Amino acid sequence: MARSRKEPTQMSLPGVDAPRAKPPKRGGPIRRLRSSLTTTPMTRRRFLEGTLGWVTAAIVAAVGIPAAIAWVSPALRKQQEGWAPIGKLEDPEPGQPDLSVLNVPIEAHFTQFVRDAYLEAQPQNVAIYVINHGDEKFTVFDIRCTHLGCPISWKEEEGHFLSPCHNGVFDQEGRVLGGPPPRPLDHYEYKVENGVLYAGKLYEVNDELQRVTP
Amino acid sequence: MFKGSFSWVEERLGLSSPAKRVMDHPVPRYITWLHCFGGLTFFTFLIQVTTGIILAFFYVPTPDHAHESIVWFQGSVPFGTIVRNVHRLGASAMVILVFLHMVRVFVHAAYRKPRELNWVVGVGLLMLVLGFGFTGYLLPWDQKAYWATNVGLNIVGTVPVVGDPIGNLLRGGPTLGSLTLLRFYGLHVFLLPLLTVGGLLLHFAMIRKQGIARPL
Repeated sequence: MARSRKEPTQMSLPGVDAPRAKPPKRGGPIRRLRSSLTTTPMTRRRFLEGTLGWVTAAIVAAVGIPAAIAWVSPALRKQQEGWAPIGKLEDPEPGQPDLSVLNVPIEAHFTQFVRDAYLEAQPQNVAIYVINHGDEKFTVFDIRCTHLGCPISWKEEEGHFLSPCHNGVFDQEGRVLGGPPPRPLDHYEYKVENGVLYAGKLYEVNDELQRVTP
Repeated sequence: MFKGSFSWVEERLGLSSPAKRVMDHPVPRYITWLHCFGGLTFFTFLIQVTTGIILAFFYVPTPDHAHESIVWFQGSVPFGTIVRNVHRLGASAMVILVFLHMVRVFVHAAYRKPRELNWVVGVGLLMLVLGFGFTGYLLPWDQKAYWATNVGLNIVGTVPVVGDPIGNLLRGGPTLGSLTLLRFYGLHVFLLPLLTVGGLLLHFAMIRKQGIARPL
């Protein structure tokens, strides 16, 4: 090309290079914003820069906030509640644990139907330990160790629960006897209806075995 | 608030002057509002990327769950309806804007020497945008999506000699099914975006190098 393309030089706008009056006091953000708006002369360039900045911020917010909330929302889903049958207290069906044995941890399980996002309710097998104290009083332990979630097992001879992964030991009430577990075994709510034991919501207890999660 | 961190990085990397050179470059006096369509297309592309990334966290490209996952996303996830509909309508907007941009370049004869290569890259980007539209249309996996893709792939099949092999390649076999959905998903979220970003970089670099065409 014969004609040499010249880059337009930076425009010199009146007021841009004028010395900015120093705000008298460094106050809060609103005070600083107000003082910078009132003490600096408004030029065309400054107006356009500001407008561009705020419009960009508004667009980013309009797209970004719904996107961020949608992305974060699965983290806020609540655990589902509902009662699931563990088994009959009298005359257990073949293959079912006998829940009428008193004061001994009995390994059992129940089936929870959990709706997993877009998937219809999926059956989920939950293993538990049930202790029948008689008089329709029970303790229903979650089988997962409170350390890292390994399944505990009842040691009849020693009379305690043992987690095989890091030797977490719990007594028959679920208190920590040794090893790394940070809190006693978790419990399930239970109820007895028409001779059937049901499991409900999972909750944590403190060292005095008082319920801490609502 | 971040002045300290900014100057810390600035002192080490000295990024503000090259950044200024890239961002703060003067625009010729002869541009008009018609010159905005290219930038607007890029803006819709950014919106499609943002909403598309969110959708990718909730969408499942399998025939048994694709539609359910979208229904669930719209019905149960906060702002799900907005995010998906912005993506859906943004796709239409992008095709319209890219077309307007092309018409403007054509009418202004801005494709002439020395900008022929940028026109070629631009046509490639147009094909990619249409490819996004075609592959994205199947993903909801409803009746409309299924039959529209069926028709589209049958049209591909009418091309002499190479039509059937290309149709089978896109379809992943002779029948439209789970593999078609996966192929379209893979194209839509991996291959086409990569090619598009590459094409955009070329497109923008050439505009910077050659400047905006003078009016007729």
